[in-house]
Amino acid sequence: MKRIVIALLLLCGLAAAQSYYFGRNKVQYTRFDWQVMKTEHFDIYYYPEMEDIARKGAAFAEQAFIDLQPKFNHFINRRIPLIFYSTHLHFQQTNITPGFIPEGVGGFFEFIKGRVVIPSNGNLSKFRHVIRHELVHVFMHSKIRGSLRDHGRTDGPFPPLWFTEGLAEFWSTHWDAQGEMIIKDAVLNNYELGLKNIYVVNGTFSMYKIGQHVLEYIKEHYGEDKILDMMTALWKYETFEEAFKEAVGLDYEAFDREYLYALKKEYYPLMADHDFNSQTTRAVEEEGFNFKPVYYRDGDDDAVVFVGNHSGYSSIFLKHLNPQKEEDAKTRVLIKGEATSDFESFHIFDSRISVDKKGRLLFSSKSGGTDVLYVYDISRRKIIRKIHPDSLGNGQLVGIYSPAWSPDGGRLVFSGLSSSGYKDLYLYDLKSSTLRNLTRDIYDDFDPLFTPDGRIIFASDRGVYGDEGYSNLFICDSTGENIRYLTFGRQRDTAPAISSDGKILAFTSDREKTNNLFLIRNPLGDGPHQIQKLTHSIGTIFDPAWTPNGDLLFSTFEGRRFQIRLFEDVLQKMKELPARDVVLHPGRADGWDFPDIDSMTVLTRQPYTKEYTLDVAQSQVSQDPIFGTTGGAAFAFSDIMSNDQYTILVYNNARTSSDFLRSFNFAVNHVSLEKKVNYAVGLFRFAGQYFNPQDAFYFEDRAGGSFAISYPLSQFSRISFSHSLSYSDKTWSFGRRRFAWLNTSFVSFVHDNAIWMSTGPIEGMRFNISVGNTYDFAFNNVNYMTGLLDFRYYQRLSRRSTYAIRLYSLFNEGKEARQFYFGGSWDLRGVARWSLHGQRIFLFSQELRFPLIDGIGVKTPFISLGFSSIRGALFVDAGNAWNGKLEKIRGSYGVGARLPLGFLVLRWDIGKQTDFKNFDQGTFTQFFFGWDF
Amino acid sequence: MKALLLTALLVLTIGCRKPQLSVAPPPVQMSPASGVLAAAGFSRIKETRELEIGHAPIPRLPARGERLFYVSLNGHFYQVNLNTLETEGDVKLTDGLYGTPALNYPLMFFSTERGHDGLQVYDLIRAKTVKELEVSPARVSPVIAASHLIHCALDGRISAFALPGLQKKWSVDLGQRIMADPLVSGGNILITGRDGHLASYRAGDGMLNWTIDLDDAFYTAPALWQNHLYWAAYSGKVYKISEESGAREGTYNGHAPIYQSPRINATGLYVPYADGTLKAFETGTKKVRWTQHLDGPFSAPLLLTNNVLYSSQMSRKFYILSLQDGAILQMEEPGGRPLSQPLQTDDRLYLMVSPGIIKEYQHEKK
Repeated sequence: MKRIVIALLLLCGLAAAQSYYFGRNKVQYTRFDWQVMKTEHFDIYYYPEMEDIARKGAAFAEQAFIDLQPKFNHFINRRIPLIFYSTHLHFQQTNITPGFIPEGVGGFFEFIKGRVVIPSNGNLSKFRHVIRHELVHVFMHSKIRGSLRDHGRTDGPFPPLWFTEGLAEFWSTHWDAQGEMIIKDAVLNNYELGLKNIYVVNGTFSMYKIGQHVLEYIKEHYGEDKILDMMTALWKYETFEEAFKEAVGLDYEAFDREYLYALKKEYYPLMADHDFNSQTTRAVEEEGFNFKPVYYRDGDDDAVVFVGNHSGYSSIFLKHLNPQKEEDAKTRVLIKGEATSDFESFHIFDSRISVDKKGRLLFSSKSGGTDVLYVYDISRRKIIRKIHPDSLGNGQLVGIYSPAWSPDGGRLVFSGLSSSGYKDLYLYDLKSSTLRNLTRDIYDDFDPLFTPDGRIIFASDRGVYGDEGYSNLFICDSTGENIRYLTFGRQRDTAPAISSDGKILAFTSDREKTNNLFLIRNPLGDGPHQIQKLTHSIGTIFDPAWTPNGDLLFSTFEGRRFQIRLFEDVLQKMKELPARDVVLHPGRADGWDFPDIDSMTVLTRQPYTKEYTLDVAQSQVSQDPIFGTTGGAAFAFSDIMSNDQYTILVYNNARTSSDFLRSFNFAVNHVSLEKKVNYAVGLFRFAGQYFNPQDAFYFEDRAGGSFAISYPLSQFSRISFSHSLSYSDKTWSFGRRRFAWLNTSFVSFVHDNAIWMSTGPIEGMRFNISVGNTYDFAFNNVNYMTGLLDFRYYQRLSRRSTYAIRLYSLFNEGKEARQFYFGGSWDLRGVARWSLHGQRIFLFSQELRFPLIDGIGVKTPFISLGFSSIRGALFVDAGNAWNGKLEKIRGSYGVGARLPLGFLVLRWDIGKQTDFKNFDQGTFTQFFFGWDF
Repeated sequence: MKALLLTALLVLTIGCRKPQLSVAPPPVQMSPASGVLAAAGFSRIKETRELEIGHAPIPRLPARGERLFYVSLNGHFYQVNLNTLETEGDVKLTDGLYGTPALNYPLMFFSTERGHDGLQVYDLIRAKTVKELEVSPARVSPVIAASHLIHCALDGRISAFALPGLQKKWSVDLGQRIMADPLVSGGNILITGRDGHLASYRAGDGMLNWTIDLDDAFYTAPALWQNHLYWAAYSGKVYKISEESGAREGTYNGHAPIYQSPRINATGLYVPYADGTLKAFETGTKKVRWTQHLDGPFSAPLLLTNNVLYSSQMSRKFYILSLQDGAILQMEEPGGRPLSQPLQTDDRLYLMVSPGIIKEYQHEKK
């Protein structure tokens, strides 16, 4: 028990300092000068660069607070901490959640301190939406927990994720093209899930939208009040479904029958005059997730370059459109992302790519704390330029999206997100390396492109309906002046693509509920424009791009896949399409604004000062037949940003009252995560009876201090150093006693870019190299060196199979050097757990991992069980632990199965032991909970 | 030895008995209107004492003489002496109480919302549950009308038991979930369904007098004034319905859901909306006489007197408003969310606030 407590504490301190054994780094690239604005109901945390958007966010939050009260019939009686970041790249640096934040996460609500954390990301309507979405969570959590508490229930059911996220969407935004995309695709491709089977998409964007749609349906057919009914009735039941049944009168199964039928009635008629893209257009890439296609002339062949995710890493791919040879038909990876510090993220949902006439690919990627631009020569497969456009601008430009070439290839236009939280258009001159800000306002300007005559077309919410979340297309001079509408209306017009002669503009629009392709003839002319609808598609269409012969590449969501497809003979088709005039609004384009928070309602504004509140308090009493009774408690405190954390552990294992002080143990740790360099300092005293096979029973009283520091080189690599100074008084059971002043230092280099499947890593590499020394500088009773190498490499063989190797070695050498314990499912399989020990350890493991069973279900009249993604493995291990000289190598080989159980993986190995000369007759079987190495 | 064992057993038996009320309240009849402040004008209140119970109360607590029956949502039943502001004992009845128990001294009738405990009949003198009537869970208060105990189950089943024997006399199905307390008027009982069905029954035999269906959702009991029902809906509307015929006679428009019943007297109709707005309507013209925006939804039923309105907010505030113009005469922050309708006696006011504290206020002398 004591060893476990100590190990946990040390782990806690070091882990918080990002000195995990493996793992990526959450790097604090940016120093935030936090300020606090106290409004009527919120404590708003922001930094000075984003004060303007923070004031708007405060107004959004206060309005949402007012709007949500009657919906929940509830009031939040605490001040809600609302932490704003101006960009998603800043948001990803937050310590409020220890995990990594994917690009798709728009904000989160944290339960322990009730904090809401939200980035702006350049679009005020989305910012307002996310604030409201998260506040729905705050209200729901408070409402349900309060109801349970009032009814004397310390625990109880909480709504499932489809309801919590569905409601957060339902009460924060209106039904839009994204929702329509999910539901329509599901219904017309026959995979629509009711509530009974919604667990299949649990946690996905589809689940959010299905949940929202279910609640829309309940509102329409049963009344919106039933939604609150479910929450108020929940305290009575053990499951949410019972409360659902009380409110609606139907259980999930009965509701599904009605709801799914209604969906079919609504969507099946679309088949009369809409088409699947798979029936009317040509497939280019259907595997994985694919976006943002652009045309590229590859020698004599037409090709498409696009971003996508086929294997877990987002990458940039190339594929030939008309391959002459079989090998040319393969999709090739041009640039692998998310595995190195140069290409940490391509923003595959938000950022387009561009190829110029010379075959130079232009794209943006996160690299370090900001995005950078890359110019890549496709034919030479080489990065020819890395551009930090804002290198002289004090780092104000953080995010870069959708860069596009000018016709002469000398300039770049892109949408840039500054640390103010606003997104504007920027022009970068390659020759002079100068950056120019074309627009500078509160509007979200995105998807820019150059026209053949040197002007710029872009999408923006600066239109009169922008404050409702809609966007139109605009055209301006290359200086950013003379902005005027190209399209107009209450819809989202996005992704403009102009033909090489400038005569046709293609774009996507959700003006008829779903994104379809639209065309404008002669968009560069001054006269009124005519618009034509090119597609009547069931699948949602994104990112059109012209080919030289007048075809349109595009990406589409259809049949649950994001595909790249080709619409051929567009010019011919255009002749048959009806056209209608674009009716423009006569007034100014940029006329709207969201109000800031009323200054009268801002109670105070002041710099952030750290105040520590409790995160965890836990006490424990344990009884051990040999070591007796141990009682103790652990506490953790942190500030609102979770940048500074304190952990306190106290426990006592005294057997008599006179032994109390002698057996008093404590540890105090302070961990700082605020800066790029993380550190931890601590004081400790551990005293008590211990046992290990080397020393047998002994009493050790050890007290001292520790210090650890970790420096991330990138998201994937770090160097860490730890040091402790302690006094040790050790008495063995056979009577020997020794004193020592121990000085211990360790330095480690850790790298990890592995990506995981449900049972363990499948691709990438990770290693940890550590060396250390422990010596007694006062009495010279202890003096030994420690070394560790743990190297793991995962060679992907196919999408779901991999060959994994692990090389693991440890050594201790010197006076009172510790023994290492070895054997069992973690390392050398077939050997009893920790049955081998020595000052040296060596292990070489190989494993072939492959899919075994994709799904298995057992259904009885009483219970139904289902398991999915069961994987198999073939393994060979070799290694041993020894002192002095290695005399033999032990090994094992066999097969195994891995069953993912959510947070754990059940591993089952069957094999034989061997010394590589003889093979054992019997077989061993081991069960174990843990991920593959 | 045997005597010792018997004594030990007796001690154990006594020791293991459920906690019970030690003092039964006297059989005093109190008219509902007594204790309400005279219309002689407003006097400020001042906090004097408090009693911590520790359990959240149901929305309307019954009182009898100087005794308050503090019933908690999690099924505790405390008898509180308001003179001393001390408890005289408590019992744990069942989980999941919400409706106000009906009192037919010495019996109290508790409907339960959770589980299958039925309708519990508690004898105040014997201090124990003497009977459980088999009925479905109910959210609303049982009531006594025409010598019948009427129980309205959540699933819409209405059951009448003759007093004092509690034999089941009649039962009908409303056809909708019942979320709001029934209303007794003369020998009739008016019962509301969540989805807009309102029915008037004769309490004696369950004969239907009339029904009306409104296209709205309802979580409140109607207020009765001069032979008219004022029924507040989720849509924010208040419907005026003839008590005699069930005919709809008008609508008072609103803008937000209503979860607490409106209050009405000669001075007007007072409607609490879930966004914290309180509106006073002229009952005849339906004109809004005044509007007051209070902070946050209402946490307990309003208490209307002849000259002021007591309003409890989820924002842990408690307001006293002038009936005349809606002006806030006094605002108190009692330290918790008032969870139950305030209790008014001649010179004192009691607030039951979260997490289960009775706060006593004294009216200041003019």
